[in-house]
Amino acid sequence: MKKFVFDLDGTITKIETLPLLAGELGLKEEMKLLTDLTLSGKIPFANSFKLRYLVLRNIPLKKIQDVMASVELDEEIAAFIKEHKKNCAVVTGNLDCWIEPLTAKLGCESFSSTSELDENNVPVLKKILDKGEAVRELKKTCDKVIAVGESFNDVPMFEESDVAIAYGGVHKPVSTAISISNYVVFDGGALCRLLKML
Amino acid sequence: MSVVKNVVIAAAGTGTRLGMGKPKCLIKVNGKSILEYQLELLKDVENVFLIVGFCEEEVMDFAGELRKDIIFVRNANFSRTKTLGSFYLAAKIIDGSAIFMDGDMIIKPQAFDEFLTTAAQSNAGEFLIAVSERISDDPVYCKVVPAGDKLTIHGFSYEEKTAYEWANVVFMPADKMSGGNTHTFEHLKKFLPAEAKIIDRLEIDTPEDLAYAEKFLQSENWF
Repeated sequence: MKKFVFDLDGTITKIETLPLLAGELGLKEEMKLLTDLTLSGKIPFANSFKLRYLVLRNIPLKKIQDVMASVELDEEIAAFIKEHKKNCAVVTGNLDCWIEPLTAKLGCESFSSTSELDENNVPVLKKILDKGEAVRELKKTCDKVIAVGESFNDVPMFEESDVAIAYGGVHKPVSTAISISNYVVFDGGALCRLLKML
Repeated sequence: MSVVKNVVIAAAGTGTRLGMGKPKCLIKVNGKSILEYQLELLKDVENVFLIVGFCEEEVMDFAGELRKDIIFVRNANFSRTKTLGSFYLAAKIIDGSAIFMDGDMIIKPQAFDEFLTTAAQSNAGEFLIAVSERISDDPVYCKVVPAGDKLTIHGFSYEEKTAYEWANVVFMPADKMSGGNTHTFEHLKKFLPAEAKIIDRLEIDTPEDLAYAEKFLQSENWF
């Protein structure tokens, strides 16, 4: 079986979602700074995500999910995923309960960082996803994995995949991701046409 | 809408003979890059594949501004492969036929449109090989004979001079393209005879070619 795996933030979504969420706390710029440093690989994803989680966990989960539900998706990619649900997966470092409204909309399987809700309905971070590990897991049942992403934490996912596509629909893919990709596209329509050829 | 659905442009090379330290497709001729001249010919083509290698990010940044939906195919091994190897990287994912062309020339639009039309009318599996009557410094001659109102190409040669040279543009089934490190025309020999079509184009290989092209385009009414 063939599997198309997509990064979420800045690939399927038209914006990075964590700075958007931080806006609820008046910390959008601070969160954006941290996110930009992480995307470019200047700070390790796991450390940065833990920090960002600790800030954002102060927002009520219901509020987070409402904001997430309103996030704009790349129309063409979302349509492709909905059309090929069984062959698609979201692979994101983002937190399972935060992205739930988005994965529900897309209807495909997802691999993400995991959490458990405490008695106050606050998520407690359990495990930060290693994207390379997610692809290795998928490879057990799929003979071809095609990965789409753009940032530094997509690099392990690219390395484990059979085909890697650096996608610059929202912002230019980081050079490291480009340097280990097979294809580079900047347009959702072109990406979907390419995916259908693979 | 053109019915030629796929065009592959090879633009991974270093362009050492021109010696300008940047990929040839970015070189400006009379204020416009070679790539821009080429993309203008392909407005109606659905899938444009641009093979990148040397200075790939510079090429992608520039090309992406000209046309957003280009599919960039990376040839990470560009310093050790020839154009044929670059073409193959795109060909292996294309279903049906495609035009394969070098990214280092300016083609007369009218001639290219006629090539597109002829290619679109050809039957599945057929080849259409572009030849030029404008002979370059380092030509690969083509043995071309008339066949009714068409032309047929029977061979390529460095030695046997003819009035035509290989123009580095071919329309062919993508699954007949191959990897390997020979020249594209050497590979095409396996599929001869095939239909030939004359196009006019200016190849930009050397500083002299560039100077000539600038002067030529100022006096000729190609655009």
